[in-house]
Amino acid sequence: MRTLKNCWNSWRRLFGDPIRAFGITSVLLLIALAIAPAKDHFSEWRHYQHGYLKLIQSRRDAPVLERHFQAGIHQIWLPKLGVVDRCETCHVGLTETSLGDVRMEPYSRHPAIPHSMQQFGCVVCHRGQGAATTVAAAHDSTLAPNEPILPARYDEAACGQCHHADLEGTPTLNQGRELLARYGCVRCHTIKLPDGSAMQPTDAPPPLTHIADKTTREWIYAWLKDPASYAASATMPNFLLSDQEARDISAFLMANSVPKPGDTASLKATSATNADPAAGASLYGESFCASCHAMQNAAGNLVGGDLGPELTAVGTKVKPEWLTAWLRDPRNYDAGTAMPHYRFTDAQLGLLSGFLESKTNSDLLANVHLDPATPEQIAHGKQLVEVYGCAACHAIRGVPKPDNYGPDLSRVGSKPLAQLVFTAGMPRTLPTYLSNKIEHPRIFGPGLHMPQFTFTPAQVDALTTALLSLTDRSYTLPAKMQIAAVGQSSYTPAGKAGELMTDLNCMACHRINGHGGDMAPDLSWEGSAVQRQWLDAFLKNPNTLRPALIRRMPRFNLTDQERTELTNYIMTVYQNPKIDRDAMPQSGYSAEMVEHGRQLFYGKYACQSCHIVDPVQDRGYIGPTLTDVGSRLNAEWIYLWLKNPQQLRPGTIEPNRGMSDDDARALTAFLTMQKGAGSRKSGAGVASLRTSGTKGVGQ
Amino acid sequence: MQSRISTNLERLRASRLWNSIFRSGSGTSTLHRSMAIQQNVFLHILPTKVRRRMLNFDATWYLGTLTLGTFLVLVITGILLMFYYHPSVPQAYFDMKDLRYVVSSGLFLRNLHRWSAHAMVLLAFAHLFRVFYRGAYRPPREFNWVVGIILLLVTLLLSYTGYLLPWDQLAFWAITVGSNISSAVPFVGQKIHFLLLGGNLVNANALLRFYVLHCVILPLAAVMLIAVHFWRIRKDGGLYVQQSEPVAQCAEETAGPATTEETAEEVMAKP
Amino acid sequence: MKRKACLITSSIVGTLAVLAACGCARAHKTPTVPHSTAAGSALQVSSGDRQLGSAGAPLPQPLVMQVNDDQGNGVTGALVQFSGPAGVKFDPSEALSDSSGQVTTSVTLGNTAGRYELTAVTYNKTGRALSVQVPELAAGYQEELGYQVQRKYCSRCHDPESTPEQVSNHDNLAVAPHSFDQGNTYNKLSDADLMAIIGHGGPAMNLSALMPPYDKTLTKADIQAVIAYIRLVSDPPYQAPGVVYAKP
Repeated sequence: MRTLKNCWNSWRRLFGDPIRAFGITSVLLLIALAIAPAKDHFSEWRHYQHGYLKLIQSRRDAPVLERHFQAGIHQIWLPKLGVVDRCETCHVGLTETSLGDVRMEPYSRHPAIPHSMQQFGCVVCHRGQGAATTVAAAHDSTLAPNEPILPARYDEAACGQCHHADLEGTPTLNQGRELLARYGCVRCHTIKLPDGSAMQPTDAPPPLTHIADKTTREWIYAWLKDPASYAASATMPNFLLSDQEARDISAFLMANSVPKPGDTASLKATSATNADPAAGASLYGESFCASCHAMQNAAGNLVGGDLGPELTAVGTKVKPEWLTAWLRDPRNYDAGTAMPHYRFTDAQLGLLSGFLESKTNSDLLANVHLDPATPEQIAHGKQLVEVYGCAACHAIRGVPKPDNYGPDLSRVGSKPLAQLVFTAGMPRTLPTYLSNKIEHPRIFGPGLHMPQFTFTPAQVDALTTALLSLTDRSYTLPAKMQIAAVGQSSYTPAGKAGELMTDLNCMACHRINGHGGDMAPDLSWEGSAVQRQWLDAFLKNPNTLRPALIRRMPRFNLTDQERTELTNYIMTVYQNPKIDRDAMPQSGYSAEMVEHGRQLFYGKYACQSCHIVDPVQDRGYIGPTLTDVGSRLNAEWIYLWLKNPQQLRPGTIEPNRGMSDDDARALTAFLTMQKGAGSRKSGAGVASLRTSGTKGVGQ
Repeated sequence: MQSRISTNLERLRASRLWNSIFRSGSGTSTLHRSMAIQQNVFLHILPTKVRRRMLNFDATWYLGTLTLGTFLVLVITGILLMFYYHPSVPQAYFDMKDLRYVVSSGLFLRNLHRWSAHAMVLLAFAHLFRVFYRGAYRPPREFNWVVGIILLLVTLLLSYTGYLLPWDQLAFWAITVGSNISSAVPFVGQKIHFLLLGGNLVNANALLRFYVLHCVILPLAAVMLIAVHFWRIRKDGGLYVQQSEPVAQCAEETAGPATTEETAEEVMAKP
Repeated sequence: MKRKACLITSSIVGTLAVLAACGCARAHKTPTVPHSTAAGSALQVSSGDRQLGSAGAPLPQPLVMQVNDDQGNGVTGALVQFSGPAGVKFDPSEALSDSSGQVTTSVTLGNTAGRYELTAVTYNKTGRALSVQVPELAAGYQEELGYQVQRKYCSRCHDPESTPEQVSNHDNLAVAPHSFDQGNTYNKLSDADLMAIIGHGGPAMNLSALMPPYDKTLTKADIQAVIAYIRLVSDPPYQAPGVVYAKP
């Protein structure tokens, strides 16, 4: 009590007199005013710059680093890009090459990238608030128009803002884009690119117009309930349907299906029953169905290509009559199919159908028992088909393709946080939302219809990266900075040969004039490359060119007339106008030249590391075997190839040796002499050359 | 030592230099001291003498003075902020960010400006309540009360126009809502709305207009009205202090304490 | 009167100022530490070490540690703690071993590329710490590009392992090339040496001509990316030479 009174007395002494009170408060105000400049001086960034100076003192090249260092706020200002980045104020050592081993943030060196920071700044790639000079505001700011810093795992998304073609150094982004196309995301969600084009899907959902001819209602039910139980590699996602919904949808699809004449075929009974059980499997192998279709082998591994559906349990799915008709002529059931039209005989059809029908999964339909459908169920099924947007992917009679079924994702990478929904405990950032949405689409609220995909965490990261690359900034950056995607042209071959090529679906695997697949070589200049008789023989019986590959061209059993038609067309039309086929003679080279060529082959250029000329001694099988290249390739093509392979086939891994003309000519002479078993002029002297060649003795 | 300083100061004040600047000359006589105020262009709005009772804390809690003080702080910080701010749509928000992150003491300047603005509004209202509850609006001070109300409105308008200047979402929508209210005025509402914004939506014109209002028109109006307000205080008989107020000049005035002036000590001796 | 009012006002202001100066107390959340119920006597890596991941991204495979007792059987309920250099995140950072004695954690490496030495620790019966160093590699942009380039152009010869998609040519070569993780070979070569070999072929450094030159096939940036990749995966690790000053 006494101390309280004393305190009160001293307070009264100080502040009782107004004049003195004014004086004291003025002094206090002046002291308070000094706080602002003091705080300004002891700022966060100054602290980090001091830390940097301390760090570099202990390094070997301290004098150089100190000379480069400038105190104060550093800024990258790019008015044309709207960039004001002050990140270098704290991240001082970003461009110092000698700081490569520093791990302590924020002093580590920026990893080597193909762009300079002065060209783009930091925020264009990493997001965050570039204008800020405090750590929290720079990294965590969610205030518009800025976004918080992008986690490092999604860095490649930034490259995708300008680079719409795939880059070597951005595998995650490339994979994400490929997944977006392959899993049909773009069928429900439009994704437009800055050049106005839309991202195209690369999956092939079949039309359901005649589905009742192909399969049973029980299979459709089992498939709708869980596609992965039929085929683990199916791209169709799981719509998490209840039993009743699956029942109704399958009822509708079956009732809505119209039969197509020619969808079913039956064979004579004898051709099926007399078959040798292994003959079907070997015909499957000879037809190289595995180049496009995958099957699970005994060990449970998926072997084969992913162009067509998985056939592990196809016998449970398709009706035998339909399968026979399909193999006989696929385009009758589905005009847009990528399946080629093999010319099978009835016997072969029987074998193949029998083999495929034996591929069953008896557990799949074991517990599926469906009562006949009522009209109400069918009507409800149609309703459900519209609700779940099935027609966005599949052609269904009477159900139009929905417009804008899912939200447009063209700028989803810049979606403001205020427009996103988060569940409890979820970090409130855009990448978290996207990855959670991809993994568990329906947790964000009731009434959502996006189906459940099964992606690995790496695939989810890739998809999130690809989505994060679709930003507003792609549209606001100068248009000349955009690098367009390499799209497909709409080339289709013309005439009778064109019809044949469509029937055989050559462009499902081959690329011709910018249109087609990439499983097989580009045929745009095939006429300039190969010799006619080889092409003819090859189309009759495709043999292996590259022993290391598992995929092979199937044998289509073409008639002579068809084959000639194709050969003529390819040899005449698919030429490179700059290549003169006859510029190099196909034969008649001097023996010295051939010998010189051999010495170059085995000595200076050591081609045997990848190519086989002598099947006994050579073993390198990266490139095609050259044992009969003299009867396969045109001499001028060989010459031009040796001079500059990438010009003839961009992206080939054959190294460009920068050969002189003489060397190339000699090697061409040597290679044109390679006409297979009967024409090897190697003779003696090969063994000695072989050993000397491998020691790297140049010529 | 003390006398040395004071004699030197006296010598300075007697010099020709001093007299050429400060015409009233030196001296401690009442005449000299009152001339020092009255002959000064900046100070002559103030009276040369004030009643001691008017300096009481109890009388006014110094609210008016504090309001003026915050106004001066706002003017000074505002002028300093003007060096960095461009009232254009691409630049306004980013200038505000630059002030926050780059300008030396920029954060302090901006925050002080903002807090003083809130304090000024608060103090103006408190001053209003004080004047009302103490009856300091009574004749002859009615017109000064009106001037005070107008000053309050000017203060609120200054606050409102200043709110738009950061050009963030808060600013934009607040001004949108406020200007939409103005369009509800009958007959002339739409025209007022258009005049205020320089358009139909809050856009670059609105920003520029509000900037001019905030930095030129309204401060000038405020300064003029403050001058009138102080002049009227003088002419109405000084600050109103109820307990010791002399008898009212007008006949209608209700009787106040009909006492002579008390000295300060007598006032303070009261419980 | 005026004095008293003055005092009251100043004391109120003073109290407010003091209150404003106090920060608000923050609620601290203590993480729950699992209690170990057993102790092993040996700790080893079961799988997931020496992986190549992307900087800032989780490693492709989880890291699985195995806690065994003296007889080599798995110990259930032993505590294993993970730690690493700054920036490395573990999910979870400590866990009890399961019925087969294994502890699985998902590792996210830091944002800088390079080699990370993670540490896994368990305690034996006497309380002594048994720790294992687990090396992991984080690839930045350049290393990632180098990985892609070498996978396309180089690994068919340099990698002895075959996959169904890419059959190795390694055993077909008369002079076997060294795989890129052989630090004993590659660490002796400077960056300029590697540039010469990749760019101008084996004969540039008196090595076999079976190695072709790539200076006209790959860009300089690509070759540098491959070199960065080689430096990353070398085992024993590559030490960059420091700055060399001229001797007086």
